[in-house]
Amino acid sequence: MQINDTLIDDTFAEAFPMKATRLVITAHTPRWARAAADSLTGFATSVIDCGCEAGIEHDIAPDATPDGRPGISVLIFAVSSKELVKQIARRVGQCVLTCPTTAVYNGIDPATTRAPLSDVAPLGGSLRFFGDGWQISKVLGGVRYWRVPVMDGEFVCEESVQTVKAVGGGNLLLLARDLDSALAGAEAAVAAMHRLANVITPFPGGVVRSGSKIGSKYRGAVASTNDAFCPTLTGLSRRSELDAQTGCVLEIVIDGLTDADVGAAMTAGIEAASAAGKGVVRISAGNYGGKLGPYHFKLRELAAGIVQRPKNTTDGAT
Amino acid sequence: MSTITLRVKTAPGFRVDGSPLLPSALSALSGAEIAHRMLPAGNEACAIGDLFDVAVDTNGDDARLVIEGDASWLDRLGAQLDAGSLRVSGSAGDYAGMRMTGGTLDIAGDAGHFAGCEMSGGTLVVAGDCGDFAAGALPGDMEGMTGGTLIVAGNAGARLGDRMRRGTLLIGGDAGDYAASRIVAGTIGISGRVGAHYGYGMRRGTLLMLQRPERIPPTFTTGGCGFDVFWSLFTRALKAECDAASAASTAITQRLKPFAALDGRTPPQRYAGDLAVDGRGELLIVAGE
Repeated sequence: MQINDTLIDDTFAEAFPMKATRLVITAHTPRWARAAADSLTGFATSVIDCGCEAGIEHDIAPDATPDGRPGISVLIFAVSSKELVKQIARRVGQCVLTCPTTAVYNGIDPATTRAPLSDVAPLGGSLRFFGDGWQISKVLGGVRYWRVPVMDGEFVCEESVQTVKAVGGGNLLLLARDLDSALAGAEAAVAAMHRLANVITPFPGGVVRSGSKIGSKYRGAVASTNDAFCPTLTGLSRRSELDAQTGCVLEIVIDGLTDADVGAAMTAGIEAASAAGKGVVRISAGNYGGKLGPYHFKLRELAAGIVQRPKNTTDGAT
Repeated sequence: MSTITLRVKTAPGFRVDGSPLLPSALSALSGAEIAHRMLPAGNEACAIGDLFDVAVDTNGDDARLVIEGDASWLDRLGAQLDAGSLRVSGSAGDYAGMRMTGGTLDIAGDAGHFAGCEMSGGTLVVAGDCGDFAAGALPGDMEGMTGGTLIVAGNAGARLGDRMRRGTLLIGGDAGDYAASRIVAGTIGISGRVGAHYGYGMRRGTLLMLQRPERIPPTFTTGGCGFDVFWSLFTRALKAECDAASAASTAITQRLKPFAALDGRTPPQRYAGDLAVDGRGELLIVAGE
């Protein structure tokens, strides 16, 4: 299968069940909401060593936030409910509670979310103890909030957040002729994905260059470099999947609240990367033979609906 | 489901216990069966059919019970109400909505003492005035209202919200003495004047006043500033409560307007207390002058 100049491999991305939640952070100005969100989603690229995968979903206009201030929504994914609870408490406690003017709210509406509901994780329920007895709880419209006195006034947060059963590890491998075209394709793909709700790309700038395989020749290492896609190992690794035309491979990892969200993001990514053209020669995906993850995102099925564009009008921003 | 209409024939001249008149309990019965049901009245009992003309309309989607006429002799109306809608076109007696857990009780006239006492859910709207101990605790009990919404468009008597713990209580008119006394938590809003000793023994919770009281109790202290986010959430929640109540009963819309129109961007004056007890309650006074 070919879209413009890009071959779509007959393979699939293998994804896994995760537990996830959405937090809505508001602040006096958009700048401080983003500062808190940047901090909260920092060092959250992979569950392998970060505890969770987190990213900014989108900005929220003041008229759409619970308190009428500028906001930002953040998605956090972890491998278990227990780990998610731990990460929420740590990250909100250190990155949002500390950030001037912020407040934080549950961003998953149990009545409308399409993702299957999981547990309810404490938010203010654990952070309130920072108040040292001066904290006040308030139930407004059936929702319990905590008001914790801090030096700029009050830190307001919801008592708890709803978590859902989500999907993590959707991915695309962009095989390009050279570094510039790989970067251009990946940036276009990430930009296209970020226009969609319910998904994040947790790696720096949304892109990962150190794609990994499970296991290692060294004891104790759970993951190691994906030698099949390393351009310096084309003649050395027996698993190499690259030919002489491929000078650079970049991967985009996608976590989403439902498999449909991840699939839609992958479709958007394929369309943008192939339309960026001129350099992304192949799009593939990472999997483990289909034995480990229950979600299989078949690239050719996802790309089936993409409309081919004339080559001279592709600019990657479509 | 059905709409049951009970039209008052004549006031019996003695108190009658109206607690069996629940829409969910009566909705499965025919008009004749309802007419034969007995209501306790002191040591006696009297049949519903002797007190009311009964009409049943089975076309409605939800369980509704309408009492037409003045029922101020009917106590415990809507007590333990859990679902459905109960509407009184006149006044109701004492203990209206006592311990209700859900549903809607709408009283177009006045309510007696102990309206909504110990209620834990649902919405109770009194378009007229109510007596003492609204949303309070029964004598000897430790907790008053623990949830739901009680709206009184007119004036409230003394001991409003006594020992209240959760929920929202809005008064469109004035409140008597000892408003918000001994409240553990929850929200009370009073649009008009308050009597003496308001907030007496207030542990936590919010007492919102839209008119400046003559004096701040000596056991309250300044509450500072920096609660802008809470105020924004609070005013939005009040507006939502008022809109929901107004949708059910348009007669009270005008009286609730001051609550619905609060400016979420301008925090009011705040005082904290009652310092004689926990001291984490707050008085929010919107009128600055």
